[in-house]
Amino acid sequence: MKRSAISMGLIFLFLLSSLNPVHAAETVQSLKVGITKDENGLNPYTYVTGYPGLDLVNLLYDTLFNLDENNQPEPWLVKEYKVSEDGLTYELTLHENIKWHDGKPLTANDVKFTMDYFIKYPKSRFTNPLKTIKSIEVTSETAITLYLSQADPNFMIQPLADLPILPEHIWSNVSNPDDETNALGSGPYILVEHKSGQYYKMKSNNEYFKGAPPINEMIFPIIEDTTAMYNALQAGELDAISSSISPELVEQFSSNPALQVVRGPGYSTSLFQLNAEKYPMTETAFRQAIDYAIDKEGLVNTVLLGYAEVGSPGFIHPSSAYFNSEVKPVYDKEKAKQILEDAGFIDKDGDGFREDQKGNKIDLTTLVYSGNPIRIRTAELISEALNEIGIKNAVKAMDSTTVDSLMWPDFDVSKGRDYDLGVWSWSNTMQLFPDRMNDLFHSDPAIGSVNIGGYKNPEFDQMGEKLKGTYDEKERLSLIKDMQAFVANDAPIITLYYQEIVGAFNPAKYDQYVFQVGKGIINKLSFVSSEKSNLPGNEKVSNDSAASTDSKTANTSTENEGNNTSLYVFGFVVLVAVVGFVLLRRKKKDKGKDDFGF
Amino acid sequence: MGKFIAGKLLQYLIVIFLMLTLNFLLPRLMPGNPLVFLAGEDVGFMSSAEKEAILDKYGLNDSILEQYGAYIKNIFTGDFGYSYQQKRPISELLMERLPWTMLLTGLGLVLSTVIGVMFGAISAWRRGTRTDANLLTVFMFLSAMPSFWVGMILVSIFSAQLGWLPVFGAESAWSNYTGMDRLIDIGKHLILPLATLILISVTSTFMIMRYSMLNVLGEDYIMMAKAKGVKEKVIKYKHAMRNALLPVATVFMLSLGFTLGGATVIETVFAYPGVGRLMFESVLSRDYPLIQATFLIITFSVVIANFLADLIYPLLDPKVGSRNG
Repeated sequence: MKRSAISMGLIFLFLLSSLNPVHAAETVQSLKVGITKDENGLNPYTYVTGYPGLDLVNLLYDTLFNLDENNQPEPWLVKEYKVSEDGLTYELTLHENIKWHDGKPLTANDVKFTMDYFIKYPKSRFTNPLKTIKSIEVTSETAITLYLSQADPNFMIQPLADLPILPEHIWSNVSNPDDETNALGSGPYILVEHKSGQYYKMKSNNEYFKGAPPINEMIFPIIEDTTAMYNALQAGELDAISSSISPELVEQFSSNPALQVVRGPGYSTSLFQLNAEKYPMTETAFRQAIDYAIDKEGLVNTVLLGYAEVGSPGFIHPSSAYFNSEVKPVYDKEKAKQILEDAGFIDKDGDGFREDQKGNKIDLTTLVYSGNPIRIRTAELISEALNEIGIKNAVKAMDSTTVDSLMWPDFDVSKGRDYDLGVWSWSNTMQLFPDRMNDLFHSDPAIGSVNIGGYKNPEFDQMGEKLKGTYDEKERLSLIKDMQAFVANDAPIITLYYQEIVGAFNPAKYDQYVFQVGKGIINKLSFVSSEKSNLPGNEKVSNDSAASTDSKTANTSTENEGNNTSLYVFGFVVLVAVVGFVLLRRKKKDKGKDDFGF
Repeated sequence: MGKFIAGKLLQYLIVIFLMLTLNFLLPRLMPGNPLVFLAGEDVGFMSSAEKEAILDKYGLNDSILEQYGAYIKNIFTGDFGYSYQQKRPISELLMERLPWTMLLTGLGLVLSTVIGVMFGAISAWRRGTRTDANLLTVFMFLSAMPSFWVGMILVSIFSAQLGWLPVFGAESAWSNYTGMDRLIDIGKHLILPLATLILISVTSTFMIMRYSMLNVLGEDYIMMAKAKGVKEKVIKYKHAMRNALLPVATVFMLSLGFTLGGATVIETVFAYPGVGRLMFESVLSRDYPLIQATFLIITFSVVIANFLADLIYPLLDPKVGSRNG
């Protein structure tokens, strides 16, 4: 895989460059970062999106640990920690002199209170990981010990690096947290103002225990339309944006001297989802044929112009430590046809499409979100490929809520499903731990909570059960690799690609951003002052790698170059046409004055 | 006249009742439900019981009739309820958005009517001349342009390229401008969306005015006036334009009803905090109370505008009143 080798090289570059010490930057007066959605109250109960919503919450609150740029937990509120050999006891010591925004001290009691509070008032993301905790003991103002009922290999990531600590003196009086708007935390910034649908304003918390943050005032204007957001960044009205730049605009942004563009691997996983409960998708051979028919690398090059990594058929991202490099994406149309022939899917009536094993016609529908052009193009290319191997199908684009209600009714896989095929995508949290394989493919809805294809295979279930009871890292690794190989062969889903994240910012205003793998530049690390890595200076690196993919990319990217420029040209042509038309009219008018009128 | 108003009122009451019911049913007939917006991003990892608890809390598990009852009761108590998505009282949300929408669409309506009437009159007065042909071409062209495209072109030229005007928002609220500075700031933000709105909506007034003016110009009394030797200016403004304004006034009153609905597309392109965008978001997120409230506002204002038009029309055109009363 040439592409993934390049990406790995890029990651390596990131790591290398992180060794360069950076001088403390001078304080920036004001920074404007565009976001796409109103996130409501910025506290752990009311924020809306995992990114950037939770990242804004994390500017106001602190967690015990914090994920570094490679998503490894590093101590944050915690100064020292000790984990017992059996993984059942965590002794944590907090930094001293940490203060809430109102000046009251943050103590171990707040930590215990937060954990108890989330158990009492559930918020799944934070509550579920707390369930392995058996008891909590506060041993001093700054020391706390957690006793687990069973070892949990991901405990440091969730809850410890995920759970925002709440101030007891405020939340002890809150009995309806879902409607609470208070956002007083201990984080590097203090929320000053929120104008619904317009902006958030934060100011720096100069008493922050890690030192005063580098930006005095942060403003997050809400701009729903991404084109408007790109324009605002280009016009210098914004200094950075939270959304990733769409592939066809990357070149235009890179060529803007006022902006710096950073690329890196993204964890959002796009896949071709099959309803494995519905015939003929119940047939392994049928699913495998679909897998062989789809040119994943072609999708990356044509739809994403190379700004993505080809999907591993085992779902897990190649940058993960649990990635099984032995499973490789497949593409072979002839083989796909052969598999179908062998399994009895044969075109008997000669209409160009295959009938199923009993001779009934097959006519499938591929669902896709209508608001997402990249996914629609992906769906269309796949649909074409399937038609070519004789599987009749058509693309149907509908608004996201409608598609959700068909593919994942009530967001509850036990409630069934009503679709054939769909282009789907999971957000980056799905790649955070390999145990998500169980969530994705286990047939018990209580375990396989996002098994939206209704996939059922006792052999996989067995591996899944075994994984749940395995704590030895080596054993876990080999099990997870086996699971990937199994999924790659059985094809309950077809992993298509992991779209890269392309961030852009105005370096003249502020340039101390940190690219967090799988997330991008809008994260806590970017906005606190501490010794931090510098981003790769000149983004030409990324251009080189894009150019080196292959000639197909080069062709498409020239066609797509300069979206705005083509707009101007088009507008200009239209204007010329109008003026020309009017002038022509004038000439005609001189000939006959009366032949015009309504 | 009294009887006329009473009859009209009864008609409107029936319309309002039907409208309230449809307004309640339509959002619930759409596929999907607001769960993901109530529960947040990790809805996939929640147990069924947790999801049920959330639906219970928002009364979404009650029978349709119970929900309908609560809805009607709320309307009569003037309580629009809480937005699922924004978790804030809807009346508060609307109060934030309505002024901006009224500024944008209200001003847009007035200006496009004035411009449309002016050019429509000129065009009709000079029917068949070069001016008429040119005006028609230009206005037809304007009406054929999609609003988001016009908006984007204006933004890329005047904001992104030339840097004269801001790209997004209704004001730089975070800058804490006061007094004159704030007004200027708001004005600067208003120019592009307003221009877009006028460009795409001016044609209908223009066409109506032109057509109606042509009709009037064909009337006998105009010929009479000309024959009497009345000054051209007087014929044009006093005799022709005044009478030609009637249909324009009707359309104006109808459009007035829709102004509170905002201009969704333009508001989206310019990130303008108006009601149109709020409505659009609420539909996407199946935010039932918010869908109901925004649609109610529009339907009510349309009905009220219609009612006003009915009342005002006899004053403008005495013939209408006498026919009914």
